[in-house]
Amino acid sequence: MKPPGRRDEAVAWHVRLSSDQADERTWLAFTSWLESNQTNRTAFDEVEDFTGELESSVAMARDSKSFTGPARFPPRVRSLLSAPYGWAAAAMALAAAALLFVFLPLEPRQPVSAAYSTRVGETRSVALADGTIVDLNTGTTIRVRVGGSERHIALDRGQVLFHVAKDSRHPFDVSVGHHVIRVVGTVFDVLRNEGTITVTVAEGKVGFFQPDAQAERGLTLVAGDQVALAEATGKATLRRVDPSVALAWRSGYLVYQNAPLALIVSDINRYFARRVAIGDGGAAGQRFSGVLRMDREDAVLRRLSRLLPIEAEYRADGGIVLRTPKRRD
Amino acid sequence: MNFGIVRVGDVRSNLVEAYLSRREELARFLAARLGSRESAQDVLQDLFLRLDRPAQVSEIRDPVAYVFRMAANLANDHRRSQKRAQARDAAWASARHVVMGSETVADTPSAEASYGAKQRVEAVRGALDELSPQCRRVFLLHKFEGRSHQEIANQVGISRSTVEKHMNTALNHLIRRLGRG
Repeated sequence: MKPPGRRDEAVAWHVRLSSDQADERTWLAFTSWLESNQTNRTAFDEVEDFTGELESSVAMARDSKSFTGPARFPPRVRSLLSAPYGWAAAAMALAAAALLFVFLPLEPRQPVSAAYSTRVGETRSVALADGTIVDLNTGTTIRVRVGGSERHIALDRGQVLFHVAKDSRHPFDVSVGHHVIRVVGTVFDVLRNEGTITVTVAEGKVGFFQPDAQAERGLTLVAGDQVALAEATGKATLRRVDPSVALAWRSGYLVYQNAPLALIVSDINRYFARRVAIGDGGAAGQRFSGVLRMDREDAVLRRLSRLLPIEAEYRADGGIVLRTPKRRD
Repeated sequence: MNFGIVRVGDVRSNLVEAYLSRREELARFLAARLGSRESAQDVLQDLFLRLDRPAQVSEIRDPVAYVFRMAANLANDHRRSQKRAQARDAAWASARHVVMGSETVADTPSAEASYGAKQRVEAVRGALDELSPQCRRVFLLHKFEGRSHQEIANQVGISRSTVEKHMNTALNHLIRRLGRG
C-alpha cells in the first residue's frame, strides 16, 4: 500500500484536474509531479481506477433502471460463465442450461430476455418473438426483452438494422445510452460507435428522444432522415441520405461520399481485428468517395492505397499505420 | 438534446490546432502518465484520430486543456484494455469454451453485472453517510449528477476551494474504506 501522503497528493491532483479551471499550466505541473517519482504514477493509477469504476457503476445502475428483474440464469450456470470448470461440471451445467431453454415460456406470456452479440467481422440475423427481425453488424451487442406487452432492446455497441413487425398496440423501444428510439413498425438502422449514435430511417417513422432530459423534446424521423448524436455533448446533426446507401453494409459494402479518412479508419477498426491508425496530418486530410467491400483487412487497405495517396505500414506490434508515402528521389 | 441543424462539413477545428501546437507536451505528459514512450505514441495516434471530426468546437473555452483531458481519458482506456487483454489471455489458458444451444454465450454486461453495479453504488452511498452532509452533497452532485465545481459552488453557496476540499475529503475517505489495499 502506498504511504498515505502519496495517495493524498494523487487524490488532490485528480480533483484539481477535474475542475473546469484546469488549464495547460495545471497539466504541465501534473506531468512534473508524475515524472518526479514512479510511485506517484501508480498512486494516481489507483485513484483513476477507483473513480473510473465508480463512474461506470453509476452509469450501469442508471441504465439498468428499465431492465430490473430476476437474474437470467440460475447460480450454477452463472458461475460457469465466469470461472474455469472441469469437464464433468461443465457437462452438468450445460444440461441445466438446456433445460432452462426448453422450459422457458416461448409464447408471449412472460417477456423473455436474451443478449445477442457478434464478434469483429461477424454478422447475424435474429428473429424475435413478435416477428421483428434484427440484423446485427460487426462487433455488436444488444439485449432484448420481447413478449407480453413489452418490446425493448438495448443497444450497447455496434450497429443494428431493425425490421419492426407492425403492432400499433405495443410500441417498440430501442434504448441507446441515455436515449430512446420509439417506433410502431418500420425499418431503421442504429449505429453506436466512438461516442456517437447514428439513426437512419429507411421506411416508416421513428421517434428519437432522451427520456430523463429536463425538457422532454424529441425528433421525429421519416424515411431518408439520418441523425448523428454526440453522446457526450447532446449535439445532434441532421441530414438527408439515400437509405440504400446507409444500409449497404448488409450486402458487405460501405459507401462513402467525401468522407474523411478518419471515418473510414473507424469503420475498418469496427470490422477487423488489427487496429489501424492515421500517422500524419497529410493522410488525415484525405477524403474518399466510393464503395469499399469489407472482405479482408489487407485487401481493403490495398484498395485504399491505390485510390488515395497513402500507404499502410504494418508494425511489429500488430498495429497498422496509414501515412503519406515518402517521396522517392 | 439541442436540435440546431448543423451542416456536416469540413471543420478544421481548433482542437486539431491545439494538438499540433502542443504535440511535444502531450507526448511528454502521456509518457509520464503511462510510464512508457511507446504506449504514449500509441495513445497520441489514437488521440489525433479522434480530433478530426466536425466537432462542437465553438463551445470549448480552452482547446488545449480539452485536448489534455482527452489524452488523459485515452490513457486510462489504454491501461484498462491492457489489463483486460492480460486477464483474457490468462483466462483462455485455463477456461473451457461453452456453447449453449446453438448460440455462443455473449460476453456482455448482463443483469448480473448491473446488479453488481448497484451493489457498488450502495456501498459508496453507505460510506458517504460517514461524511458531513455538505461534503456528501458536494460529492453526489459532482460524481452522480456530473455538475462542475463552479455549478456546485453556486448551488450550495460555498467557494470553489471549499468544493475542492470536500472532494478531496470524500475521495480519500471512499478509497480508504472501499478501495483495494
